[in-house]
Amino acid sequence: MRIKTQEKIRAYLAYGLGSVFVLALVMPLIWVVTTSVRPLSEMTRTPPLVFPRSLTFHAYVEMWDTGPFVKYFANSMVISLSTALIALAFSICAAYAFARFRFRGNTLLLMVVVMSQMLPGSSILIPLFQVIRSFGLLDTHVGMVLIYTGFAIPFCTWLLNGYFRAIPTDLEQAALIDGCNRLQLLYRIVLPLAAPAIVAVGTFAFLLSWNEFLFAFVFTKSQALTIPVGLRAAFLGQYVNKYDQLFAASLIFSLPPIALFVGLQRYFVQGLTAGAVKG
Amino acid sequence: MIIRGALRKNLTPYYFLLPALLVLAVVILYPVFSNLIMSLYKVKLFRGAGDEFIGLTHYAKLFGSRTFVNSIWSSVRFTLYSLPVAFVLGLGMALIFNEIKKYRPVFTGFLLIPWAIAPVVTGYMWRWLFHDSFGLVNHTLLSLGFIDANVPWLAQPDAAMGAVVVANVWRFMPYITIMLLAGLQGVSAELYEAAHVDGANVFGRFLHVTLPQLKHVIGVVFLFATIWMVNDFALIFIMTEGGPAKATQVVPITVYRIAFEHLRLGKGAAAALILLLFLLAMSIVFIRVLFREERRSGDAN
Repeated sequence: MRIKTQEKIRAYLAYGLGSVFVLALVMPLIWVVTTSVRPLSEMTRTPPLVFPRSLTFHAYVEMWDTGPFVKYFANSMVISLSTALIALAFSICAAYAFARFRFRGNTLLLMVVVMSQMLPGSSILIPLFQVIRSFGLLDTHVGMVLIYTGFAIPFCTWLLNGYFRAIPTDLEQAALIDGCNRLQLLYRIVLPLAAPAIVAVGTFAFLLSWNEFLFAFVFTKSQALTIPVGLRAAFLGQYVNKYDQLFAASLIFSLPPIALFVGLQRYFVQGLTAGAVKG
Repeated sequence: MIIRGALRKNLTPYYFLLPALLVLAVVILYPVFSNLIMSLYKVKLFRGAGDEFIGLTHYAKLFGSRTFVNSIWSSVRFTLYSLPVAFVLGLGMALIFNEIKKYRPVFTGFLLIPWAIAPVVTGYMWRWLFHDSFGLVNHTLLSLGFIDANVPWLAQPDAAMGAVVVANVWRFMPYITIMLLAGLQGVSAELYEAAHVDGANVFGRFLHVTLPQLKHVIGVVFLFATIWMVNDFALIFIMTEGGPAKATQVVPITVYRIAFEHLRLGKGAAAALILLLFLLAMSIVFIRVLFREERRSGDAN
């Protein structure tokens, strides 16, 4: 009996402390959400009100006039979706080669892939600028997709390689005997079995480009400007800080990542922790 | 296994690899190589004549420049302050969440939000939270009696460093929790029972059972978190732009400024290479320590 009550107390304690932790973590976000729906008079008030007394959705309407946000959103969407699709296609092929073939340079190439995953972005910023400029791709969608695809491929390939290796080869051998070629094997047999990993990897590539700032900031001016850079350009002038509109736009911008992360959290947690837990 | 052996002398794998390797060559491998070469030349953004070879002059100049040396210290401070705090909080959270069985996905779902949103948004969020007159941080500290007057967080060098560290901890703690939580799933219940029978208390069990089993995950977490923190550009740039008085100007911001504000690409490349070499050296040390630990525990078994 005593042990049971002890366990109960322990569980209540965990839920209590866990809730406090989560609340503290989410508090800054609540503050930002309420900032986006409060009238100006309540925003610049000392002491500040945590919860506004009156609600207004003014900022969500006005933000579209403050900057060309439709264009920024379109740019972000086009660049991120293209990156996700291309990175996915290229990584699936590369990972399949690593997982199913033994060939000369196998280990070396896999090492290159794993190492480039840890490469700091700022350490190739300058030469990459020269490369993109010499291709005439500065401030273009193609240029940004190329860069983000390069950044996404290492992690995607590495994760998919691990996943493909865990799939038994029996089915493929049977299909090979039946006269399927390699590409057919890949998309008829391996891909359906690896669906969870493919979803996780595609989402990773999408979010990488969706949230990226440094390269978008340096390599785009107007045509291919994405939202992270657009937020800065549109709202924070030297003197007028339109925080309500800034956060209205930020929240709309953050909805896809939050939805993807929370919706696909099982795959993400698997992907993030793969390899790290069991060496 | 037949499937692997039969096609040994086949070109098929190279066709499969080609698209990915081509992109990697253009976006990563060539730039890494080119960066090394550029750092030995005087390269102007808008060049008239060809670039002039100047050997290691950029490196000598960088290590003699107060701005660059200070930015190294800013990076070191930023990382060394953030990492332990994020780790202790992340570990605490992981231990609590490990006790939560039924609604754990709900809790981890909330946990993922700081990790999901863009660093730019996090930066603006904390900039607004740390606003001197309308911010929630000053309001909370005032009403709790920790401070007597509003602190201009982002306008004082030390306070600004504190502010970016807080934002950084908020952002990275969830990652650490998720990783450690996954590690805790692998800790066997039998070992706990054995320790219990041996009379170990909660702290003893944590110290002698939990921590040793988490060693590998902790190593990976420290390695990745350090790399990400040292590389951060967006969060700090949005919050302070490296100021005030360059107090938060970490190395990536310095690289950006040398190359794209002073338009000296060669010197910027040298600064970037120093950053890369530092991270590489650190990763090697980390991985060596990790593997040595593993070999030792392997011997013990």
